[in-house]
Amino acid sequence: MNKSNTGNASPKIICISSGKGGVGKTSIAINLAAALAKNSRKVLLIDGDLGLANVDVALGINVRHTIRETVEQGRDPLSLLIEIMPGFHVLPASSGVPEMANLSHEEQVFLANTLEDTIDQFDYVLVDSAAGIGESVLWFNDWSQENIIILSPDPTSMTDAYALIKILHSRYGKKRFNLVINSVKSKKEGREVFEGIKAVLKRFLKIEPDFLGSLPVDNHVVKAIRNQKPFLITYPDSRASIAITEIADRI
Amino acid sequence: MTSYISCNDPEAFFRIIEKQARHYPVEATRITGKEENLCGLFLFRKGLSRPERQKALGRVLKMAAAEPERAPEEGDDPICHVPKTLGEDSCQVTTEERAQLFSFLKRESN
Ligand SMILES: Nc1ncnc2c1ncn2[C@@H]1O[C@H](COP(=O)(O)OP(=O)(O)OP(=O)(O)O)[C@@H](O)[C@H]1O
Ligand SMILES: [Mg+2]
Repeated sequence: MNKSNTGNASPKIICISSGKGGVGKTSIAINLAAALAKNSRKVLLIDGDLGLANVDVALGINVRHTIRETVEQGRDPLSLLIEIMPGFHVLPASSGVPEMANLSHEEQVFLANTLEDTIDQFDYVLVDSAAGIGESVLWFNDWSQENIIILSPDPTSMTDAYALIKILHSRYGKKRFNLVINSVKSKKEGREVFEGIKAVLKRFLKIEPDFLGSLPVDNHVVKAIRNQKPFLITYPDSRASIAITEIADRI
Repeated sequence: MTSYISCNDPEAFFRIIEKQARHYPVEATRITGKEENLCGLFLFRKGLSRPERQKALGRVLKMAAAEPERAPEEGDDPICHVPKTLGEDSCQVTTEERAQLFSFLKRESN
């Protein structure tokens, strides 16, 4: 994704999505945030799954107040932030609130303005988006400057990632996509999956995506979610940690 | 199925576009009416020369002038309508796209 973000400039807003559910968005978002924070960057991770939040669960944090209060009561998002480790804050969302997954247009505008007033102090803002191609997914992707798309080496995941990119390209004019291939058997497989989808994107949409890297299938990822801690912190030497550190260096 | 954001507040929409325009090399100029209400936006590629800009504006004015005659013949669409081809289905993944995605996967598993 070109230069890394340091210090004073306005934050780099990056949306992480996948189309298909369960391909590793939340795991990758959390550990990417942790890796950036380890590199002395200030990171805000927004739980963009506004109606079915996951980030709080995956990090074992007890959430009382969520982004819902910002939307419904105008609460200052700064008062909602939870510090996970130095430099890494989370803006939590609510779970089981379908209205939040379908914000009205006015609410979206209000949320965008409020968030933009909040994020100045960060170097990176990561959004862990919901699965699917619902309005909130498209909206967060549109709001972000950079778009990371996660896919795995399986036909449904590849098709869904392609469909999401196609929508973001044709409806929102997005041209730059950064792909991460998750759950690969080898780096070679990750590269092949990337080249495969790249060929289709080039041929039909005239888009050339960027390859951010791949993440191996690694049981430490599963264990870390169960321990409710980033794998990068609990298992710093795992293959997943090494891979995520490389990806963090590229954004 | 994805739905377009449906909204009946055009000013809010203009403000969103204006905001997005900051991320692109374009200039958004407000067109305001009576009492400063927002009637529309001009969007220009940044770095256009003055003559280029005037020529473009000239075209818009010409289209606006021709509008009263055009509308009864061709229907009521506003002069700068969204192309019809940009319909809801334009994003659907086609069979050709799928075929190529899958052809690669088949090669993989061999
Ligand atoms: N590289 C990996 N190796 C092993 N397991 C993984 C890997 N990546 C993700 N997983 C596991 O897959 C499951 C889904 O991951 P995660 O919750 O991060 O996906 P998601 O895309 O955020 O899902 P959702 O769409 O539901 O939000 C988790 O149990 C996680 O531990
Ligand atoms: Mg998730």
